[in-house]
Amino acid sequence: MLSRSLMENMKTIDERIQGCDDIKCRKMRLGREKKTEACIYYVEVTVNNLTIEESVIGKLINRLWNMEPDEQYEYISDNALGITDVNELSEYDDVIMGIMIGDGVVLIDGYDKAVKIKSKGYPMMGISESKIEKVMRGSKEGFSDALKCNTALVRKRIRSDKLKVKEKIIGNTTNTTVAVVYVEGLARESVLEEIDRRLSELQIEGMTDSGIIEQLTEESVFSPFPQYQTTERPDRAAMEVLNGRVVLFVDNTPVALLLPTNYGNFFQTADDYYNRFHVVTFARIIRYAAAMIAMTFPAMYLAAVTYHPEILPTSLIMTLASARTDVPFPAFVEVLLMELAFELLREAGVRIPGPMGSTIGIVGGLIIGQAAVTAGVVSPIIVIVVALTALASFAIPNEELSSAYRILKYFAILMAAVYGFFGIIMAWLFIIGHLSRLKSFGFPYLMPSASADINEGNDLKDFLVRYPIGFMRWKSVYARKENRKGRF
Amino acid sequence: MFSDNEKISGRQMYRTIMVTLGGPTLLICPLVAGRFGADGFFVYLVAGVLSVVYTMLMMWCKNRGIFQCGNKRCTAVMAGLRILLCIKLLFLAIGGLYLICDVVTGILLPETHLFMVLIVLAAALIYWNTGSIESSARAFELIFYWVVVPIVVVIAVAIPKVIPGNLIPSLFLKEGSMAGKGMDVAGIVKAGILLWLLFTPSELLAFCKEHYRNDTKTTKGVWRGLFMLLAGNVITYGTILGIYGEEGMNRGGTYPLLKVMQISGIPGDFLRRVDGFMSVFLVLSLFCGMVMMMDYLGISLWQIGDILFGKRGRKNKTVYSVVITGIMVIAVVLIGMKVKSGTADAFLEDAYSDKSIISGTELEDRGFVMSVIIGSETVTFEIASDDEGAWQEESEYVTLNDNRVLEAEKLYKENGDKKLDFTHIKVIFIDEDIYGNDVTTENLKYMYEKEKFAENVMVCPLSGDIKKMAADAIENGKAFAVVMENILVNSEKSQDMELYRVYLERLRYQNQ
Repeated sequence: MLSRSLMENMKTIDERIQGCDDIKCRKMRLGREKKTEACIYYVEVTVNNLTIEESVIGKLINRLWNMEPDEQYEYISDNALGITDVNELSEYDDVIMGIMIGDGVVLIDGYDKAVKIKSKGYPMMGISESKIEKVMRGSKEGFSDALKCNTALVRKRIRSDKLKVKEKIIGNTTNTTVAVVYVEGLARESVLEEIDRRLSELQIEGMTDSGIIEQLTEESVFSPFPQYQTTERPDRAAMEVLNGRVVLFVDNTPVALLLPTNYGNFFQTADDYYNRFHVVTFARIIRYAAAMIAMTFPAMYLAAVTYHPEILPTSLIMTLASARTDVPFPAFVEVLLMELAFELLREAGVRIPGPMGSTIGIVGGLIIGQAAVTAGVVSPIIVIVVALTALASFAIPNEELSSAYRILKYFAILMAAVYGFFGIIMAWLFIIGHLSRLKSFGFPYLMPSASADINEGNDLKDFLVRYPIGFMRWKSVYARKENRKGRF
Repeated sequence: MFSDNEKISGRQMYRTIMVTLGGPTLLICPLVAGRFGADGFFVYLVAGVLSVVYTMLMMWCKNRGIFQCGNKRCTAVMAGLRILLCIKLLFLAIGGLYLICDVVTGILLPETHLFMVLIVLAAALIYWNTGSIESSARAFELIFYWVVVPIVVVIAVAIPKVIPGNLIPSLFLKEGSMAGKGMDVAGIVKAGILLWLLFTPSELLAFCKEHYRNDTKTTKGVWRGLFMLLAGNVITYGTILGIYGEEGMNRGGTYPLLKVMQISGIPGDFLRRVDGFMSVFLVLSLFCGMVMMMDYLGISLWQIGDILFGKRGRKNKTVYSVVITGIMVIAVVLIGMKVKSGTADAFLEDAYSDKSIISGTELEDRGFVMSVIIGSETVTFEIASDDEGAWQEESEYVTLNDNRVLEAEKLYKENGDKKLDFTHIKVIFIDEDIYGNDVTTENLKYMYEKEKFAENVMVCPLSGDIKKMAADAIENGKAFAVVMENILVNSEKSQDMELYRVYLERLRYQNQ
């Protein structure tokens, strides 16, 4: 509990923030006779001189400047300035937290409460275009690092009091704010309770990204498949919230988590609903095919050339056979070698700064591929196989799902090397077996291709084929049954 | 929170029936009904009627909870019936595993050791059976298209090859004709009962009532599944029979459906021969069938456990899966293949043979045989040239001193540096001097039954100008098969020259 003595309060706080040279304390004397001592604690940069002059803090201090002590206490406790971002704090922990989250905290001698005043906060990147969810049509706004800014971007799109934003502090040391955003009446109570339970059970020191929450709260830790959908787009988040889903924001993360989720969600993009249904349906079929290719194509090539050459035309099989004559590796090693070389390029492309990154991918791919073929290390067809597989993996709209398929591709290659097509089908059987028991907040992951009748088949209208918007009259299974009518 | 309720919906019911019973019935039923030729349709009729009556009976039992083990109602008789059900399910599961092994080692991986196949199947079975019955049903919903679409495509592509005359039952033929020898009614009824055993999933409705949603959709799902399955089977049987005729059914070799897959190439050069590719989807169905049997076997065993020991028994699905899978694997190894080999010893000998753990062969190690020229004393293999782009002009010819293809292959294997690959063979030439001989019948039988030879490869008598051209090609190392294939394909009688037609015609002739 804070005491009435400023000196005592300062002493305690100073002890707590010892060694934190970035936290400043500016002392001042208030009142007509300048007898009332006060001080303001803040993290450097979050509250600078100019801000103090011009901000709410500045205005408050100016007012207190000429008041008598009793008037000052009354003024503060009544919040006479009428500003919303002023909170009274009575615990040291709250004071420290207030400073840490980037606000200014004012302590006044003779007053046993501190006043937390919103300031400009920590430096952050502004709103910029999403890098990983680019769309041809639709808003160009993307989430930023600041949680408040992100929730505001959703609020900007859903101007209703039914949109609820529940905040929670997670991380014993980082004290990161996590916001649960949903539409009251649409999001299922059971899902909200489960989210709350899982977040409450989290006992960790640091929460620096939404990815950590994702991994700590997902149901199947060893699954390669993502169990949360992510988005960087406010319009997407708003749309999902309207569909009964819940959005989870983590401070300092521009990536929001959408939950619950299913396999089909990962193939949907924000502009799927902005374009006409023919185009979208076609695009979705391409995406699903891309997922199959991304995982299976190298394995199918391997199975065809080592076990089942009968499925290929004679002319092609003879071309492949003659191209492989000088290759020093078996087809399995050849495939593996080229796939790993591509992974190497991809990883290098991501790490190399600036425009060089993408350049190295293209140039490296072309040069290394061409050189490898010329040197006779690999056959030309394998370059086509690897390139097509890579292209397919980029056509999957969700990076997490794409990564899952990238990893599983090696499993399929191994199975094909040992068992041919039978191996590939067995690999798929393992994967489908796994997917069939995977769940996201209790919802089957394979919905709506499986268990679609839970929602009378309505979710199938937004699956492989996207029905015309006018036909989609029901919200997804995530929404409460009684309020499911009317999607758009 | 949303969660599993261990209940199967109507849609899941329908798809489960299609996926789990589609593969096994399509493989086995033509074998059983095929013995009766066109009268085989009556076998399906008997099986269909019995299935409908049985399903109605089971639904009646289900609605009255007759087989439910409510605490007091459960009697020793009910427990006994459940034990019988368990035995049946176990046998069906073992049968399913046997079928998969047979298809995989027969068609897909003829040179891979059986134990390698069993290892991966056992691992997958154990994994699948640790899940819930509802998760299996979800997976079947997804797999539905993977099974149904390829089979529909195969049948659709094969239907133009059907000869309608093959489909007329003996009932409608004049007495005295070959097919009109009278109906074997008793045999048909027996075969119908045998088939009916494969169409009896409806009993699970009555025994495992608590695992189905009690609504009209589930009932509809059962009926829909049963009728679609029966219709699909009849259409498939009609297609196979229409193509191969009575003589072709059960005439050795592999399952009739797989034979059809050999000749049902997709138009265009890609996927010209789809048996290897399509049979994996059949394997998918067989696997799902096994999983379903094991799922319900597990449920039935728990129920028996509950009857005997109350609800105290621990239900460890992993232990159950491992034990049951182990029993199935051992059963397939020791008993299942006895059917094929005659004795268990013979099978074990086969299982421990020199087959490989990994049997894939690199393209450059394969010698692609373009034609087989069977002379009166020799067999010559025309092997495509390895040189880039030269295969249409140059060939290597290997002549072996035996006029039986099988023996010639063995001779080549002893000395050849490559593995002979017959998957792209274009034409089989048979010298006119031996065309009517038993040796030719033996050769045709061998090639017809061996999966590596496509059923629709051309068979051409070697005489006159063709003989001279062949001799010239062999002498100068010129490509012969490619040239001849182009000529033969464009001829009016090209269809009559396909391997399976030539062989079946010969059988028909011999029977007369």
